[in-house]
Amino acid sequence: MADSNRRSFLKLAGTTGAIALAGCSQQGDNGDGGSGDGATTASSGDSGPQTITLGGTMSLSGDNADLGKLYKQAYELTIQRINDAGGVEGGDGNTYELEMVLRDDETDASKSKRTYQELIDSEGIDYLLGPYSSTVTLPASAVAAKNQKPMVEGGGASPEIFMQDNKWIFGLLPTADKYALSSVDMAKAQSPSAETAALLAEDDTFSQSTAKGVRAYMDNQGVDLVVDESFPSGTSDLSTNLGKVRDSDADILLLAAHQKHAIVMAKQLESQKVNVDMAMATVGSLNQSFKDETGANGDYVYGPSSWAINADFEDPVYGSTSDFASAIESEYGNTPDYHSAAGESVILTYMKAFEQVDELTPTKVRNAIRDIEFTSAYGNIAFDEKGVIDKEMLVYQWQPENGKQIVWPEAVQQSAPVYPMPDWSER
Amino acid sequence: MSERGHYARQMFAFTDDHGWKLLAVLAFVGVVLPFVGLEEGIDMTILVELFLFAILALSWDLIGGQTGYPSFGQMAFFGVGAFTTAILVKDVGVAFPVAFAVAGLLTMLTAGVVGAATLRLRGGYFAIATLGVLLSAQQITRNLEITGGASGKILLDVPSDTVFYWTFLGLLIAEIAVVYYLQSTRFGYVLNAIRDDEGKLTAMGVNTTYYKTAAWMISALFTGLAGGSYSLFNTFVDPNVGYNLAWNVEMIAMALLGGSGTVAGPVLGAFGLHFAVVKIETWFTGWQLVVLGAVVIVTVIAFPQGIVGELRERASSMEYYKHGGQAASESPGGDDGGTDTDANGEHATDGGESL
Amino acid sequence: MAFAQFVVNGLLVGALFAAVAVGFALIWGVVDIINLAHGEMVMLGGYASYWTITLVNGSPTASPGLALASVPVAVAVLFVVGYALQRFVVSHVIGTDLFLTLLVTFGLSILIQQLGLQAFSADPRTISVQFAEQSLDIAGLVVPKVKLIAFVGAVALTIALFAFMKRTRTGRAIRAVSQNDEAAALVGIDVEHVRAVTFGLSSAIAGGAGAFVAMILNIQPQMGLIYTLKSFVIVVFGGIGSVPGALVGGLLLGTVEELTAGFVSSKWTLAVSFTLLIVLLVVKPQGLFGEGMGGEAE
Repeated sequence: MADSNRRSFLKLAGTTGAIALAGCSQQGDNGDGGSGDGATTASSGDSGPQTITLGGTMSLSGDNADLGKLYKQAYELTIQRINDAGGVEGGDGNTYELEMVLRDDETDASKSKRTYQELIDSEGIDYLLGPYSSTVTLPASAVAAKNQKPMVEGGGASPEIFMQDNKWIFGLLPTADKYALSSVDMAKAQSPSAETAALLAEDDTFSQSTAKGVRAYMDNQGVDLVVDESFPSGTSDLSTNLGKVRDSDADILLLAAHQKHAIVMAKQLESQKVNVDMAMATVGSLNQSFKDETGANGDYVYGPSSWAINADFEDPVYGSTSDFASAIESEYGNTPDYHSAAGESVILTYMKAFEQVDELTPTKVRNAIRDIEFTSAYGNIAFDEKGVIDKEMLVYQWQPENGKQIVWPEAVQQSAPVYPMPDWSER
Repeated sequence: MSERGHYARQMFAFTDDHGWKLLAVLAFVGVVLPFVGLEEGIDMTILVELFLFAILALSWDLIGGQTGYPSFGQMAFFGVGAFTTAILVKDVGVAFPVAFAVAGLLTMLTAGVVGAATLRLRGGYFAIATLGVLLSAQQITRNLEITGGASGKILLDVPSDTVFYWTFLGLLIAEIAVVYYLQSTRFGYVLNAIRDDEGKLTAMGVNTTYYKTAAWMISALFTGLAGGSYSLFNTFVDPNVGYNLAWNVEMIAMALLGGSGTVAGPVLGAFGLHFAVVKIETWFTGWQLVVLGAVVIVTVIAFPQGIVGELRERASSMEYYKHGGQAASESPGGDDGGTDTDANGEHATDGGESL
Repeated sequence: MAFAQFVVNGLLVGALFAAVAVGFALIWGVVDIINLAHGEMVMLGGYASYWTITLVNGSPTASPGLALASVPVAVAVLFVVGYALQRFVVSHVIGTDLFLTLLVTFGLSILIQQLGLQAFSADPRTISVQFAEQSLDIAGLVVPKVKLIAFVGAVALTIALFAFMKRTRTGRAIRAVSQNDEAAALVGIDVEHVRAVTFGLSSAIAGGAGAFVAMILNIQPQMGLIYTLKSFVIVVFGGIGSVPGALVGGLLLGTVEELTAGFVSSKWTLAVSFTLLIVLLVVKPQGLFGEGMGGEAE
């Protein structure tokens, strides 16, 4: 009896211990990595080309999987092209192939701390790719700073990310507070000039930052905000809010939200008989899928983008902006948008930095990124002292004849904006 | 079956007799790890999360499994704790230990108020009412200025991960000790009796309101303290993190899969399921939720009484055969397939203690 | 005037919530299952209708006739889905603890949602119903035609279910099982089959509602949660297990939310409905309209 008690005890203790200790074996599983500044990234051994592994998380499932997909495509294709062309010529004289580990964060801000820590410690990753969405980026950037690994991201735009005195994070999107400003500029410059505006904002970090930015700006510019409403992300019907917009006679409508709300807005503008001079949605109104789903209702809708698909920037991997666009389209069958271009430039930023450092360490790469200057399909890449790219938003509009057109600023416009949007009775 | 039943019986006989020693071993292992090479990093992060989920599962089980009040809004208290420390540490500037204490006090008070209203409901009604509490807390937090609205709070100036390792370890050990101790007291018996037949107990003149409110507040206290530590540990909290709806279900899954109504069950369930989640996320990136959903369904169908409950069942059927069928009369409900949450409480006859 | 418009908006969208919630109330009352995957049935119904129209037309634009014709498709597909889910998965936990059934349906919910994500992608989809004029103008109130169709359709689905329960043999069998499953089995009712039919009906109505959601709003694989949560609120409004209660509860919820959006602010809509849920449960747990047929869901 005593004997079998003992055995039972060992079994039980074994189970508990195994679970408690299993975490510790993690490091052993995947080799030693991330051992501070001195170490180069895990290489696959002495024979064959050396590799550098980039790693991060992305919204591969969950609410923002539609946009997460665009980043994943751009990351994968760009890395493949770089490797096909012989890899990265490191500034230390070696040639490196790039690899990538991409995990799924489900756009859940309670997952990013552990996942990024795991990438650094277990996968030995020294160079981090940022996630999509501001809420996930915030804890992730704290992990990057604590472990002193650079993080380049093309998916987190909240200005708070860059106000934490974090020297390790670099963002390729204009901050959220800037998203709607150029649309206001445009509407002010048209005739009749916009004097009143309605703002509908989703209740999430990003959209609220956008709303905050544009509210202050309109105050400054003398545009009267006649409707200012927020709504929960779970709200799918905007009719009552759009009714308020109709009754207020606002000149322009700004929707700070994501694609599902942009689609509902396009549908319900007609059914609620809302006639504004400009209707603009901050995210998701410029994807091909927006236009496919909304059809004629999507015509004349505006949206901001940090990327001019028709611009002619030189790109070290694809050749030019248009080559990048056609490469994505032929590989994946969907047109790229600014998320794709920002994703591509995340990889290129690392490539350029690797080329410039005399030794591959996170600190040296980080310092190189600070001073980096190059052009890519996305445009001119350089970061200010906070780590944000200096970029303004362009304004696009869906036009019935020409499709998606850059309409603002005038210097780069493809077509003049159709402003005011025609009334529903005239369409 | 009979062989495994034999071991299971041995195991439970042992754990029932030596619960405190096992807890001491667990505590010892937890305390020693940082001195034998556990450093801040992924291992510590995972251990902190394992402790965290064990605390949550055990908290839920105290009210849901032991008392039979199926809370479906436990994360409301987590959120209250999480935002309390976030606001106190960041905006008021008080030290973490003070904020931690206030968070505990505040969640207990909240639980007292919520409990006064909802603990009169039973079963599904109680479940929905508590879910309503969670959902409206989340929405209200999203609209308030003081909580940072939808943007939440960024918390970078916080104690190191090691501090949180000790905090969560301490919380877990304290909670195991409290629940384990309660099981052998009159208090614990009353809780189980409330679950089995509250009407009878009231008829006997027992003030059940007092007991269930106390259990509810203890459960909320540990949940709130865990939340209060987690927001700082995560360096960020917003309404989705603080009132995490997925965790709300996961903690129940952990308690039930491990074996509700016991002490060991929820703890092992939390360790096992969260560890599985971590691994599944790395192995099946992008498909992890599909796998997780399948694992939950299959486990529930295969082990409707939880892993620990299943082992107990086997142990007692072993007992049954050994006594030539006589033991059946001593273990009522032994074969009815478990029509309630506890599924095994009846067999824990030797003092009701089980770890 | 504004008040009337808000109420109209609320009723129009509330009917859809109601059609979703009646199914939720039905299986809670009869099978004693809180189906956390109920919102996913709405989602699948939306996609069934969307893909039917896309197959026929080559694009998700439809005449009102075709749009309506896609609703029975969604209803039929979801009946099969619901029947199979009960028969092969949920039946294993019938009669056990409330939370075991909750866990199984939670597992189903994330499974269906994620498989939907892999199959349909996360892009939001919508069906455009073509009218020369999108909205009616009734005494100064804006009433979108497609919403009116959805309103009538949703109410019709709910009434059809109610009539089915009252008038048909199967309906009576379902009620018998809900009252006493052992006695029902004794008189020769195939209880397992009846439960699966109930689950199928519940999913079918939700699927039909989903088709209308795809027409007036849009659909996405992750859309289900909010419909499940709203169903909780509605079922409490109407009394657990009560089909007519759920209809009234849905209309009421829609109205309360739109009045909040109109007169207070849309950011408070969900907070108000969830708080109302708690208050109502505490003050009047049997629902606003007496007791439901499920009684105390213990």
